[in-house]
Amino acid sequence: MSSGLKNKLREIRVASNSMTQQQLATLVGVSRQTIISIESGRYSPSLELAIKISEALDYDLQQLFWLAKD
Amino acid sequence: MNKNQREASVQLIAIPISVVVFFILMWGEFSKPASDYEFVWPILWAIVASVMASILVTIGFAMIFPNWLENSIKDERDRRIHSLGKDYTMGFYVLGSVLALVFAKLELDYYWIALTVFMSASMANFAHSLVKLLMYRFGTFE
Repeated sequence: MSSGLKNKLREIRVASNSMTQQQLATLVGVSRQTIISIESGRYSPSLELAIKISEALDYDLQQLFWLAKD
Repeated sequence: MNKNQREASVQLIAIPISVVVFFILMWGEFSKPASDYEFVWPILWAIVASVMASILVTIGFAMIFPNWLENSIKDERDRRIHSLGKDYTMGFYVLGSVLALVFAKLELDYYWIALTVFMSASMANFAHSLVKLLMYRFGTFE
C-alpha cells in the first residue's frame, strides 16, 4: 500500500461545491483514476500535484495532506 | 483503462503465446544433442508471434469492449507506475545476463545461452506487465 501520507481530499472536494472527481482531475491535469487513487490512499501525489490540488480546492496544503504519525 | 494498462494487459497474453510458439518450434530439435539445435529461427518466429499476438489481442479486446481504445490523459501516476514496474522487475534482466555470462564462461552450447537470454527477457516483460497491473489495482507498494 501507499506511504504514510494521509489526506482528506474526498471530504474537502465534496464540501467544495460538490466538485466531481472528473472536474478536479481536469483542473489539475490528471486522470480521474489518479484522483480516485489519491482519495483512497493508494497513491501519494507528488508535491507539485498536491499543491495544484490544494490551489484548485482553495484549501491549505497542510490541512489537506499530512504525514501519519507512527 | 489507459494506454499503459491496455498494453500491460495485452502483453500478459502475448508473451506466454510467444514462449509457447518457441517451444513448439523447438520440439523436433530436442531429439538431437543440444549443440545441433537450430534455435535461431524459433526465437525469431517467437518474437514475430509476440507482435502478431499483441495486434490480434488488441483488435479482439477492441471488438469486445467498445471503449477499449479510448485514450485517457497520461499523468504522473502512470509514469511512476511504469518506472516502479521497471525497478521491481529489473532483476530478471540482471539474472539472465549474469547466467548467460556464466554459461559462456562454462562454454555451454549456444542454445543454453540463447534460451537464458530469451527467457529472462520474456519473464522480465511478463513480470513488468503483471506488476504494473497490480499497482494500478492495489497501489504502488511504496
